[in-house]
Amino acid sequence: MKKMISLALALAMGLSLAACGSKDAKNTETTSDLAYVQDKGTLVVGITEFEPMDYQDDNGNWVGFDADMATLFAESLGVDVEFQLIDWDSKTMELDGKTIDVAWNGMTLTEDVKAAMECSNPYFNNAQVVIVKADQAEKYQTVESIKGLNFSVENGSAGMEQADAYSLTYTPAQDQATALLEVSSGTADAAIIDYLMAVASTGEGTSNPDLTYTVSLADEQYGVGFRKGSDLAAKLNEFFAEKYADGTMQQLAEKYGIADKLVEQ
Amino acid sequence: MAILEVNNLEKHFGSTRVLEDISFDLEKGKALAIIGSSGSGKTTLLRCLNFLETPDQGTISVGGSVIFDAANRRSQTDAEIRKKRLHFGMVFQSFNLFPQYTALKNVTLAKELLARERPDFKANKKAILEEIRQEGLELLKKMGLEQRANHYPNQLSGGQQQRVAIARALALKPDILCFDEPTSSLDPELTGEVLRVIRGLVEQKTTMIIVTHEMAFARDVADEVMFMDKGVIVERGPARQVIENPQEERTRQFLAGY
Amino acid sequence: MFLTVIGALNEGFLQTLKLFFITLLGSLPLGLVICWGSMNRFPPLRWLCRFVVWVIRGTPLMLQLIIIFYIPGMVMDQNPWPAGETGRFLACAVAFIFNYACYFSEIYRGGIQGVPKGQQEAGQVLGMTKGQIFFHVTLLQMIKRIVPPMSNEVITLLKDTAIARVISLQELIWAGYAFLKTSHGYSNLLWPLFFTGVYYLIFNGLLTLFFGWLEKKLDYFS
Repeated sequence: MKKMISLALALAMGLSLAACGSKDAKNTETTSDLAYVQDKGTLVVGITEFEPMDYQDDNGNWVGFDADMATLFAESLGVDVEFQLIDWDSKTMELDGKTIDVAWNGMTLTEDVKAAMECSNPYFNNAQVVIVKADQAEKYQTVESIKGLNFSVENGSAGMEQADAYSLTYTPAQDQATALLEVSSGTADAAIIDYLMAVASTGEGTSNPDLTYTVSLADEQYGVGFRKGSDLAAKLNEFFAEKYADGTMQQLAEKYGIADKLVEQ
Repeated sequence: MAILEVNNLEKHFGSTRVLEDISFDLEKGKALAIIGSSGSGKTTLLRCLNFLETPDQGTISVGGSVIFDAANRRSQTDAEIRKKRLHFGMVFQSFNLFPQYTALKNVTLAKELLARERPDFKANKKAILEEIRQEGLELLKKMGLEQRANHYPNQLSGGQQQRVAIARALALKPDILCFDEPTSSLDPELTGEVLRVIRGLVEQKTTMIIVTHEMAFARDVADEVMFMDKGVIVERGPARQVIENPQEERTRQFLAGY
Repeated sequence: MFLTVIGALNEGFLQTLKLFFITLLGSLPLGLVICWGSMNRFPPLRWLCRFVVWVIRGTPLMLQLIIIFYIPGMVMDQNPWPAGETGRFLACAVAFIFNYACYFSEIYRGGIQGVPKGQQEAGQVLGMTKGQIFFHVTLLQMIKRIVPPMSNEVITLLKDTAIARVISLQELIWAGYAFLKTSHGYSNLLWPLFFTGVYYLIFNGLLTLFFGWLEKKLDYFS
């Protein structure tokens, strides 16, 4: 009797292990991502807190240019929107694991991003700018002048791509905020971050009054990322075109103070 | 009539033969002392009687009914073995008291657990447990330990611990009480109190098997003495005769060491 | 600002505590089952249990979290974990419970094997069943033996909950770290991250006191 129980338990454990591996075969029919999202009734939007794109208002609701657009997009699909804070480094894994449906958070359309995701048309013009201490800003107004500096850049970011492109010496940091911290604490001479972030977090009245931005290294654009092969990207492009045509997009951009960089759809 | 009958018992550990063709019987109310050097198989014999080892050959009978037969040992369920081993009580060399329980609880625990199997346990729980408690106190009193009932083993001397262990073995009223070198772990000055207790049990006609190195004790207290060497019974007879006038050469050689 | 940050950290700490207690609740008994399996006389079950323990103890918890949370959705049409925080928390709970159960099972095994064989034999000759011997004789002696290594492991568990942030469970470290970027409207705040240390310290202080008390409580026998 006891042996029977032992055997049954061993079998059960073995089977449950095997079950994890045996599902691979079942990837044949690629159902439409749109149908999948509409079927489950929610669009899970992967974000980080990134003003003015995604941030929480006083009531704890997610607002911002991206958040508002995502809400409208979900509405147009007839599903609920759900915002999920994620570790931005894991966005591709989150998409592939179907734990989010879209990465929508002021994402720079780099070659890597375009290879890993199904991306929408660009909707916003961004740049990578060099951050230095404000009192030394005059010295570093040209690309030539910054070549000898030690940089801090977010690991895997568009800023890091630029640092590579210009053969700059740099140390990767966890994120853009850490890169800024390195500059203000003096452990790095300069950083390369998003223009949007630079506007929001350097200079008088921000959390880094001693820093400022100087050279613009590359103009780049923001897009929205879906699972590779998803038909939602095309759907979003239609949606963008429609909302640009009727002026909704411009109004929202105006509201969040980024109208001058909006891309025509 | 013999209460215990052992026939052709054999036990191997791997390729080593520890017991070879052991046969003997024991009358009710008698005390048998087993002597022999270490490795002679006397402890293994006791462990076989208590189902702590399974013999490879032979039979063990108590009160006329076979409780162990090597020929069909696989057919025994755990529950059956559990019942059968209660024919024997065991006192270990190293006491093996349960350290987390008081002296009294050590004595009563097994009985309380057995009582749970009684159909009327739920209804009379309080009365049954109180009865067991009283019996336990009575046993400790017999061992001269009534003052120590609520002491934990680590608060007792070795001699006191061994007396608690004897009370614990007696609590289940076994037919045959086995002692495995009961004084070997004790300081010399503490052996006396334990031997006195065993002597008292002999006087009350408790059936006992005592594996011991105390030759004088075996001679004075046991009814019979059995000498074992290399897994066989070499000599067996009345206690005084075997110790003082052994018939076999090997017995003589062994006793010469004492 | 201080109140906003403390509020956010409290929320994170609540997640940390939830994960901590649920992990203990699941892994303490599951460890016993795995321990029983890895000491079982039936070889296939014993090998399987020891294999599982080897795999789970031999790979980083962080990796297990990533695998258990992301892989199912990649190979199946839909991710089996419930949506939102619930799913992330559930995945964390499963990974943590399994992970810690394996560590606990080895500590239990050491504890059980450390109880002298004579204790079991004494129970056997008194006609006790295997279950009675385990629960009435071995268990408490085993517990006494395992309190010091268990207290180590439990304190480590509290700190290990920080690993859950790899699948974006918003526990204490996540909450503190978020202020370094942007959270609740504040950016580039370093101190909230450091301040999380105070939470861990205080709670681990309580744990240390508890285990000290437990050790003392079991001091009456040896």
